[in-house]
Amino acid sequence: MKKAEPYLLLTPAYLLIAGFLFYPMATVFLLSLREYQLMDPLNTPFVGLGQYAAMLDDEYFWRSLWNSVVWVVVSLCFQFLLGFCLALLLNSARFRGRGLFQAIVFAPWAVSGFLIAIIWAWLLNGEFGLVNDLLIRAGLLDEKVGFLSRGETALLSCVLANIWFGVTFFAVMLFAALQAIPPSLYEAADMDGATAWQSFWRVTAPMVKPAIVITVLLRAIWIFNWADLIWVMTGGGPAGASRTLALYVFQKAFLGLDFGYSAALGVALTVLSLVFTAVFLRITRFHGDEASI
Amino acid sequence: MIRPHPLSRLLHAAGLSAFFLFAVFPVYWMVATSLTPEKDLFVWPLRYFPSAPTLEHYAAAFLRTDIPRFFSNSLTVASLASACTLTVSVLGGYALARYRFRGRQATLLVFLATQMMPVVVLIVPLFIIFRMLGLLNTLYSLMIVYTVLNIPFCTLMMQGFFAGVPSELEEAAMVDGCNRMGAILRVAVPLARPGLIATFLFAFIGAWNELLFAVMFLNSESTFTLPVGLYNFISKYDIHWGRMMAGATLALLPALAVFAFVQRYMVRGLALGAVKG
Repeated sequence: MKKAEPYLLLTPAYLLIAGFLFYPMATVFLLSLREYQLMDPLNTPFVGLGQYAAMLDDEYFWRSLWNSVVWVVVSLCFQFLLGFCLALLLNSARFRGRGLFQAIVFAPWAVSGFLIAIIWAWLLNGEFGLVNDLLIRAGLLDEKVGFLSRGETALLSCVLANIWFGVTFFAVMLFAALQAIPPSLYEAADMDGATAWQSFWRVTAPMVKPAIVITVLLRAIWIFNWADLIWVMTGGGPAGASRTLALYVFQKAFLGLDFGYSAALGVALTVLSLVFTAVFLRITRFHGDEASI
Repeated sequence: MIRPHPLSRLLHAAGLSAFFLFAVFPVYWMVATSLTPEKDLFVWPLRYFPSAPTLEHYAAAFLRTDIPRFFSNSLTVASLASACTLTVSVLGGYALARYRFRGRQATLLVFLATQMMPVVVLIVPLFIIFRMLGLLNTLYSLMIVYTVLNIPFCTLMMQGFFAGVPSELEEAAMVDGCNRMGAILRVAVPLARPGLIATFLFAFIGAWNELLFAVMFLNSESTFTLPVGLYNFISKYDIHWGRMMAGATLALLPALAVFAFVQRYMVRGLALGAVKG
């Protein structure tokens, strides 16, 4: 009886996860082998790998994949650099009200994807947007630019909003790692006559490296799968210029009502995520124990 | 400690101020827009402060749109879903914290791995499942989805909180004739109360903010949650930015209040590496 207790306690969690996460995930694969239009759910012929073949021929698929790469890499680079700067600044600053300051600077984290998108769509608005106003006042622009409606700037506008949101995440994580470095290490470096530069590279950098690796990898996969920000800001437009793979999966289902093809795209997204997760687990040498907080 | 050079202190202050502005300004702009009279919103060059602040957009949002209903729908879904999440997570988290059993490692690993699953992929199969169950266009479908999506992470979170509570008291309670369930409910749960609140609020924020499932599953205005309702405003041709920002401010307030509370648990949760944004 005692042996069964943990399993009994975990049963609700197991059942719900199996029923509403793993079962649907499995059916996605089966669905991708069929032609399935939402409007015609009784007529779903088996097409084998046909939709995957179509996917490889679909220029929008390749474009969305490339957009995903840009979306992830550019967002991550800036989030990491700025977040690390903020964490270092916070770590070395001693001033009154630091706790409050920290809470305020970290607040973007509480703003949800769709609110970030609404706020930034308004900031970047082509007619009365604040960004246009500031750039024109600063003499960097001659006339207003519709950032969200132009192919060259649409995706980067979403990236900007993403950076705003994500800097906080990195700052929080890396700040925690910096706080965990024992001060005695810096004192020792000091005694040995290390310059500030040297103690940064020889003490700080190696000590926070694990936190950096974990944060970057987790963030990468999360951003890769994140669709609502772009969906609300630009809808993936104009003409697919800002559509990422995750958004393509959603739009094929929501607008295209083509469930079969959406499922095939979803499988592609999942496989890429799995590969990434495997790399993540390998690099961080994850073992179950480390999951205990 | 080396005494910082005045110049470096100046750079320091400048850097922190820049981050402060960067973090705060967009939110300030949202609130400022929501308080600016309609006619002042569309002047060029822009004014940075509302010269005659007004609540007209809030009044319009409350009286001329369905925002109050969206708000109450969101509140219903988010609180019920997070209550369910919490119940399941407390039981599961307790098991993971107090027992060493076969499959424990695997459970931890699987729960963590679910956090890396692309959630957007689940929309289509869950749509089909809920259509079969007849739950489309009801708030129940969302409650189930939000509950399930939050369970793995919240269970891991609760496991951490229970691990931090000494088990001797429960053992004493059981010696005194309490059964295991009684020990959990009467001893462990009260001791882990801050953790329970944090977990509940985490699940709440996640459910409160979710858009894509809601947009896919709901199609009549009476069931819309706040994100869907606001999204509908933006997708219509003529956007009332003032009203929009009033709605956005209203949507942000509960999340910010919750954030202020869970902030200190955030790092702990984030360190586990699985928090959704």
